Amino acid sequence: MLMKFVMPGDRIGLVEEYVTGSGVYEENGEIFAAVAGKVVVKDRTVSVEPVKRIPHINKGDVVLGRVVDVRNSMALIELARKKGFDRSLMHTGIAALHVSNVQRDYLKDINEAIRYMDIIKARVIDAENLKLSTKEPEMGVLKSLCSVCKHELVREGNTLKCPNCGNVEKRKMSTDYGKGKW
Amino acid sequence: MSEEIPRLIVDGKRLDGRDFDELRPIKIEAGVLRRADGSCYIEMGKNKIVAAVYGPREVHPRHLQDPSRAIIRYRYNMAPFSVEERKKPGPDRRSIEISKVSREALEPVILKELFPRSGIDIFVEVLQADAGTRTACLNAASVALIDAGVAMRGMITAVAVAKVEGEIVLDPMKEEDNYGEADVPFAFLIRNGKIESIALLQMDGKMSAEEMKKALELAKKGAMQIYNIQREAIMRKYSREEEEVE
Repeated sequence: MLMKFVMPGDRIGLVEEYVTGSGVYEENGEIFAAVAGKVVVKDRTVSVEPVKRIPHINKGDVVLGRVVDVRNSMALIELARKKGFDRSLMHTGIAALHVSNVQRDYLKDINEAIRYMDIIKARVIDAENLKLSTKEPEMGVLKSLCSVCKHELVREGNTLKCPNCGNVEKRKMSTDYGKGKW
Repeated sequence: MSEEIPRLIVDGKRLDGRDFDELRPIKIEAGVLRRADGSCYIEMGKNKIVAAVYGPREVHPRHLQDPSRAIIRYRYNMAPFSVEERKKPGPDRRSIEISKVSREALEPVILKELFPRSGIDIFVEVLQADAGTRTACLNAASVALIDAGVAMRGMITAVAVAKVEGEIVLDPMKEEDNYGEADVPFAFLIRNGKIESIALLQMDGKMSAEEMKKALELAKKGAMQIYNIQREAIMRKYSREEEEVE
């Protein structure tokens, strides 16, 4: 394995030598670095491990978002962050969370588990169409507001209670609910 | 302007004792701002400039989005206290023009197709101005973009050349800019340690074709020196990060 620090524009090799990976580009049969970082050659694929990574959404990623709309069988979620990155996403696409992917048990009405303006943590199960799943115990609602008075809800066992008006609600909660971290 | 024009060249040396082909002292530091995705602080002579890069990020307003590539926005701004006479804050004709030409210098270098629908915002703030702020800003922006991890074809390095008392000099200072006969800012695309093309070229004043050729050669020489300092700034920042990880 080759370990060399390169800057954008540095020539790494010829297209005959390697397959172009990430962080590199090809021009006139030559391969150049596109970012600053270390050159990594693996299985004949040459890529540059950048100094700072830009978050791309892939299948299996854990993401943070806010519910912007709840339809009959879907919740639409505006993505804000990818786990492991303290950097805004390239385009904050609207992802979809279908009732069938909310929890393991049968769920008839999505409003029993997710509501408008909830902050949720979810796993990407389809990166192209931005489909999410919250089936795992760590995934689900991290913060939610009372549907009556809009006060922040506090966890009480398996339910959520409003300290302001006493209203009790149900959600598919994440194990991180109310902890302020995800 | 009834003031007497000072002698700018005495015994083959310039006002600050530099040779004709000598740069002002340069200091570059990458990654100085915590909240920015990429940043850079540069000192070129008395110029003090901070550059910040944000993105690739969501574009607002939405109608500016390009579905096939990223859009680049560049803002050159001078702090009110950056010049001798307090400058009214906000953009003026000069800074709008500088922003435009600087953006156009960087645009073909950034691999925009990799970031569809997003925007890359570059902000450069002149905290203290001497002469050649637009070139210093481009140098800073280039380093900040690399610090942000934005994919680029190569590096942009900029330097100005001036004509002073009939002599072509590198990297003019304020007096030379004010009383000189011409000022020519250059920016080059440097790839694989070689100057590949001109990314920005402006001229103000009078110059012959011969002098222009000479100016280009001088600028290329200066740009290579700056290029090495830019590289070193990234390397320094990078090696520090290596230690933090371990």
